[in-house]
Amino acid sequence: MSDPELIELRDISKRYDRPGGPSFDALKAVTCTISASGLTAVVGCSGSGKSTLLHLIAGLDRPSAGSVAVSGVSLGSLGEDGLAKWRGAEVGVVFQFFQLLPTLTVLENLLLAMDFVGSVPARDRRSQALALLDRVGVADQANKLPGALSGGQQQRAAIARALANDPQLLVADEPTGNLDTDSAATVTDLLTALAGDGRSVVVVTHDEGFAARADRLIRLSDGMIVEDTAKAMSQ
Amino acid sequence: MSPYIQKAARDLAAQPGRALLVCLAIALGAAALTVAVAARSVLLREIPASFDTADPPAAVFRLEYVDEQLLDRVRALPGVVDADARRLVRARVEVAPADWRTLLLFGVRDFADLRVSSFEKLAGQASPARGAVLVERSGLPVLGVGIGDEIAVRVPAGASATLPVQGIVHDPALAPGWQDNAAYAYASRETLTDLGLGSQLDELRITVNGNRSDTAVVADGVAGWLSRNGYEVFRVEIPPRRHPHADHMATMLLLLSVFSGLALLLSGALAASVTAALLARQARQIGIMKAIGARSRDIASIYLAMIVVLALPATALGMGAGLFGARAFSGFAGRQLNLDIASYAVGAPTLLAIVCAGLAVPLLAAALPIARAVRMPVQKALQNPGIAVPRAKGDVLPLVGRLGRPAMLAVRNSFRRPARLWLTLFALALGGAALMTAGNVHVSLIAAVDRSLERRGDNIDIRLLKPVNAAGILAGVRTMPGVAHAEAWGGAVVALSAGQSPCLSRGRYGLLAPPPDTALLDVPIVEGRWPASDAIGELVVNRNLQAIEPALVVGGEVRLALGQRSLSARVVGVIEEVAEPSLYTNPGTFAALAGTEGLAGVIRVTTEPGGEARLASEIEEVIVEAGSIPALLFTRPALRQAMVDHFAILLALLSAAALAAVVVGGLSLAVSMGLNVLERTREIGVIRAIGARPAAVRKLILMEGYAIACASVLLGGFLSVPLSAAVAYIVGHHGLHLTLPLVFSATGVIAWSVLVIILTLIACIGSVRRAIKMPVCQAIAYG
Repeated sequence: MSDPELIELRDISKRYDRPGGPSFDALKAVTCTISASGLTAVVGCSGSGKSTLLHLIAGLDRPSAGSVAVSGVSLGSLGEDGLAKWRGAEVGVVFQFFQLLPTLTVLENLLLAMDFVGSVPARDRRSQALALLDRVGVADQANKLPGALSGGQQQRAAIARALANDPQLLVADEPTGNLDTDSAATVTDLLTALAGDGRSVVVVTHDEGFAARADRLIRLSDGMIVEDTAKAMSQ
Repeated sequence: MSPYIQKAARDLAAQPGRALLVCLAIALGAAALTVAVAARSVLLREIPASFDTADPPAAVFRLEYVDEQLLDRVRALPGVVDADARRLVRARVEVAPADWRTLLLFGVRDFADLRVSSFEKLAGQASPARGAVLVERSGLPVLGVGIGDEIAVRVPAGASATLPVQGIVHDPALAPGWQDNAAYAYASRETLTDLGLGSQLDELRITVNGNRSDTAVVADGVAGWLSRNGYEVFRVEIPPRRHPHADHMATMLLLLSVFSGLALLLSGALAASVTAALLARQARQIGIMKAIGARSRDIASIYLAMIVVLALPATALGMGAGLFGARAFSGFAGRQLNLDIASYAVGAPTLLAIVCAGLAVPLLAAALPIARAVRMPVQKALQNPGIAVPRAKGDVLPLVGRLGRPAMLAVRNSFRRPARLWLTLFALALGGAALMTAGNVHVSLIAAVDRSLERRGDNIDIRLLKPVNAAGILAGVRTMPGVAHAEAWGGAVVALSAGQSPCLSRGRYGLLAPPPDTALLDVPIVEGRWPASDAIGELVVNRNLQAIEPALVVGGEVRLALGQRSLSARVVGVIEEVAEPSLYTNPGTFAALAGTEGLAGVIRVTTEPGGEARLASEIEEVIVEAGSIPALLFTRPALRQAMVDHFAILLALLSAAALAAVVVGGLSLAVSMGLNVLERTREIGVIRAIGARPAAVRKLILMEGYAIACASVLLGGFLSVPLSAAVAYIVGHHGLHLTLPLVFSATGVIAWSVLVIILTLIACIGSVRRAIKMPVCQAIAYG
């Protein structure tokens, strides 16, 4: 029996107006669904619309046309407050440049994410955050500021933060793009493992090796899906 | 166009918000500087100029009479420029039923030919008809009349009359009547005759060329000529050639200079802050330019050009606004001193100095951040993130770690740009300190007045025009219902003799002779001692008199003249009080000078609270029955108000300066918060991406703002102590000639705390709005 669909994109388009030049269509009437578990890799050349697609899925941006629904919730129907609340509780976001808050320790970065959402009881937050850091292998760095960590450690800490509120959906934009080979391999293993735990992980990547490990591969070109391959089907 | 200028202009165009902030900072500093410098320049020129339009007398001779023939002969004497005759009658005017105030009634020789002590017609007739008067404009608030109304007047002989007001004039040489609770009126000789005062004018007023020393020589010569030609000279006075409130003006101008310096300092701080932020965003570009061969001086030239491009229009804008403000302030100061400002023009050298300062301050402020940016190694510049990344937690307060995460984040964020934080704190704290200082000095002034009045102990102070029998008047006053205590003092207006001639005076001041057991005077001696009760010829002077007559130090000799009598005296002590320039002596010395004992020139009364006005009116009737009238009569509330009114201009200046400092401080906070938010747009995006709602983001920024605001209240409080002490010293020693008791007002702290809360709210909400409106993905990509 196949997994239920978590994400449903219908005819979504995204147009950017460029001052002094023609507008640019980053996505053109894209329709697809993504299941509630497994690793989905989104690949394509620069400017193909990968990051835009990821931003729309994570509720970080709104489409110019079409609709995005996640877990049956139409993101277009949510206001800014509602979208922020939904994002905190339902999505974990991992960025290429880690984006840990530099004035908070690694542990505090996780706790802040829990504070915003409030779904984890206050008395449990510290222990859960430490458990997450332990899971990604940086528990010993918990009380350091991000600037004191290596790139790989920072990215693992960022993944832990993305998991702070136990979201069903994890999105990662080039998570290995700024890492050395060893660190990239560690992060790839980590995200692959998370996808295996019943979470839906959507990763935008240029790393063909990483993409090869995905359960599904979506290739974009000029704002359109030109390839959509599920591993089970290809085998 | 040079590529340097092109790059500078295009970089600015690419960051219009920051460019506008830099412009605003420079413009504000230039505006504050212009207000202070231009107002000072205008007032320094216009105050004496306006005073001189009244053709004030260089010397006044009191004779039996002055006629046209005498005037013609005096005008021909060596050193005399012109001469005129006048008579001054101290009278009373009824401003409400049984409410009499001081009226200085001037008898004028010829309204169409005013040669000395002239005045300008403002409305109505230039020459009043027989039985009518013109009134001076500054007394109108006291009189509450207009042209066509009548005033009830009581003159020394006790006669009363009702005189219609036929015109309003302006005499810039007179102290504003409303401040002294007095009015001025002008009448013809015929009107004086009708009032029973006779038609003779008894003052010969002359103008001379040269300074006060030259005047003394000419006046001595004229006095000799008059004596040789059969005119009896009762008194010669050489009044100081300055406005009666010159001390206040000097203090005000000194304060303006202090605030000019502060304005420069604040403007520099603000310009440095925003310039550093502007350059922070350029770090990578500096790295790129260096990588392609730019030398340090090339890069410095580009950014200095950028500052010049901003500073030129900003300085012009600030100067325009500042000149407008200077005009408003100068006009206000003129009205407070009963002077007209003929021209608000500011000299070219002053304008040039402002332009130079307007350009130099931002260039100097930018020099350090530019030097720092230029010295940065290429690799470091290329990787510069534009915002400081802390390497250690470094909480400044242990408490911070115990705050909630958002508060902790906010406090730590506020310390990420330490230089900017300190500049913002400094500007904001200085604004708060200025506000608190204005409050402290205000309260200190009032405290000085109250303390001075408390030490006197009386509720009603009456100076008599003619002395009366002390025992008789006291018997009448003490039996009045409501009178708790009454004293009759010796007292008169005496002349301080100058040079060899006993009748040649430097000025005329009140001499008071309280009884040895007085309960209505408790002024501490600050130098020397009080006159011994049995010593003849010992004096105490107050600091206000010392400021005019610096020779009156302890041990100094002076000759006092009262009418035809004179007496040598020695200064044995000095007191500080909020009062007009005065001398004090014992009853024996006063009797020796007056030539008779048992006369009262001053009556001081203590009443039950609240009944002062009624009793003052009743006592005035007793005085009139005794054959005199009050030359001055003040109840304690009226005296207190008059004293406070004299400080109005100083308090207005302090308030205006405080307001300007608060605006600059608030703008600094807005600029700082705006830049902080701008630089952290990406971080705000991340916070939003992990679930922070717009309200939570606003709260974070507000907390950051309030962390700075709280620090500013503390720092402002500390800064206000030396600033208040300095301003209180200036106001006390230069304006009032006493040591002002420094009182700290809780109101100032509360007002600043409330104001800073509002300012922070405005600054933070305004700053964060854009970051919240920006789509999260765009915010994350911001850099």
